[in-house]
Amino acid sequence: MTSQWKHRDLTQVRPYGDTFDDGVIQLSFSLPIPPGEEAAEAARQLVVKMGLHEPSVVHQQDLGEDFTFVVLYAKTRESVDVTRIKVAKVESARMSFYEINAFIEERIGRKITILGACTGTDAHTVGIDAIMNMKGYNGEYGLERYPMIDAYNLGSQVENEELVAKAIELKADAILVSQVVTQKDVHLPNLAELVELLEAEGLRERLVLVCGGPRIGHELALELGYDAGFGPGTLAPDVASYVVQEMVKRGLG
Amino acid sequence: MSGGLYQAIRASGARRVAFVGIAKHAGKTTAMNAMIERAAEDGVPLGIVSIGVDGERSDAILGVPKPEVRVPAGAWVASAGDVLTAGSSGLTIRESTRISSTLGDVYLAEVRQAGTVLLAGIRTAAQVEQVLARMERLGAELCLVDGAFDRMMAAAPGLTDGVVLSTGAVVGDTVAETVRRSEAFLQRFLLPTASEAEAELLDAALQAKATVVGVLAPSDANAVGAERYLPVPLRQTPFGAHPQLDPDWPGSDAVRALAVTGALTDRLLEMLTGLPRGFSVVIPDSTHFFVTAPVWRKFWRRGHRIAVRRAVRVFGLTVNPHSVAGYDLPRRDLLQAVREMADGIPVYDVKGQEEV
Repeated sequence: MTSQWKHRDLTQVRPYGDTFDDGVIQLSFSLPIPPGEEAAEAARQLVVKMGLHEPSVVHQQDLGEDFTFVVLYAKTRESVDVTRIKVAKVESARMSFYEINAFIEERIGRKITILGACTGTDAHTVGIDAIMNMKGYNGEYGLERYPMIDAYNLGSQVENEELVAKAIELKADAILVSQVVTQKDVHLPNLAELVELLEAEGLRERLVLVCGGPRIGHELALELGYDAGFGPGTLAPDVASYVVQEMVKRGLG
Repeated sequence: MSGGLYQAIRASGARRVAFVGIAKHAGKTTAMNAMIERAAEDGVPLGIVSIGVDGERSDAILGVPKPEVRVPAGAWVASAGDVLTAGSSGLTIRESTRISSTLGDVYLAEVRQAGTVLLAGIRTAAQVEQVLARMERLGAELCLVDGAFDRMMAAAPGLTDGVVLSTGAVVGDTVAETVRRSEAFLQRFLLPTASEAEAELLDAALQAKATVVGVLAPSDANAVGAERYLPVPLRQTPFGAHPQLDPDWPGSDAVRALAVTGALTDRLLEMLTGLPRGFSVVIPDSTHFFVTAPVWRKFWRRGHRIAVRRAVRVFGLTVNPHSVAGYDLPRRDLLQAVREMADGIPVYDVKGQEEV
């Protein structure tokens, strides 16, 4: 076994269940039918329709109201070639709190202004707060703590217009937009509209524009017209490192 | 589809065409592919860029496949280094654009061998301008700019010579709903062109880098049609404050127009709706129009008008009856209904089942 995973073939990667390359996947979902043999069979058939094999229901839970929660194991024969995967990512080096402030002082020579907001109907401020707040998150100070950054957290449900108005008023160098991006994608047109407003106002070139949220990545950000898009687990120095290096690269100092 | 649309573009002498959609998956890339195919048959050297992410990757959110972009030998493309070799086409990298992206630096490449290509990395109007200008110097005769989501940026008349619009079932699950949404999307492209006086006012605003109020010049006060506006620049951007609260807003009854160089939004238009009948707002072009249908309708019913300094030339509107959500609207009915709504703009079937 040991040798197998030490010399793993990255061109054919499958899920690992109990043994190498077995392709076993755990699935769980709720069905709007009462628990029992029928529910188990329905779950198995559904999983086969998904293209998986050897489904076995290992757990059923009565949710009440004739609903059932099921847990299954099943196998996939599919694999992915990891060597061919190219993902959008930030290439600039991640710096520490002290390095970022020193970088701004040396390379930009003035304090920079960063605005953060949850825009549109979005009221989920956890993400933007973790990046902006003085106290920060997970052992990292937020941008408000950075002596070389004037950070403004505009809070939740900020209209794009209001954000652009603030960016003009405060002469922002960067804008951070936090969005949950729900299943129905209602937040995407709102994210795109901000980019269009900034273009119409002639501000887009002068700003580093970043979005972030649990379902956002750099590729989606590029498609929306943002410079970068940070996903879950991002901390203030990740964002600040990118923003300051991008500013210098684009000559926005 | 492509026959009439391609001919119309070539006959107009346009060298840069933007593809703008009402939403993601409305059929922009399919429409662009049809144009690429026709231009290739015609031997026209192409330049191809996207302001989003285009090619054989699946949708970043829905995971559904997106149409491939197929490019002929001799075409120029611009894309980010990490994905430049991801398609099946053979490319020769000619130069760096100095544009960086999260998918690597953007390069200009010449297609050696026809095939698919992945386009990504370009995201601002200034970057589009830079890359198109370079492609044209390298010999591209017709440049195509694919859009992303409902972004209109590439339609700006200073940047491209005209647009192909795309709409479809993706925005509505009935024919009526799709037509209603398409109409709201189309209205910005059908705005009237500014009168001489309005155009002068906007030029004054661009020069002053400010919002400018047009006051009817006293000598012309009674001469309808031959009117001229006296430009009065405002101190604040209408983004920040109500224009009528601006210290420089002329307190005169002769205020007739407002030239807005930036974005015209619902909020700004609502602030102006209460002015005496016959007020005009003039904007540089349709990409500055961010007004929603109800607010625009109310403004219009008050007897006001919105005009554009430069009209965006619309070559055609493509209609896609298929929705990525998994349903199809009746093709004939949808085409027919969109045609009736489109006010003379040629309407094309996106899949090309119907030659127009």
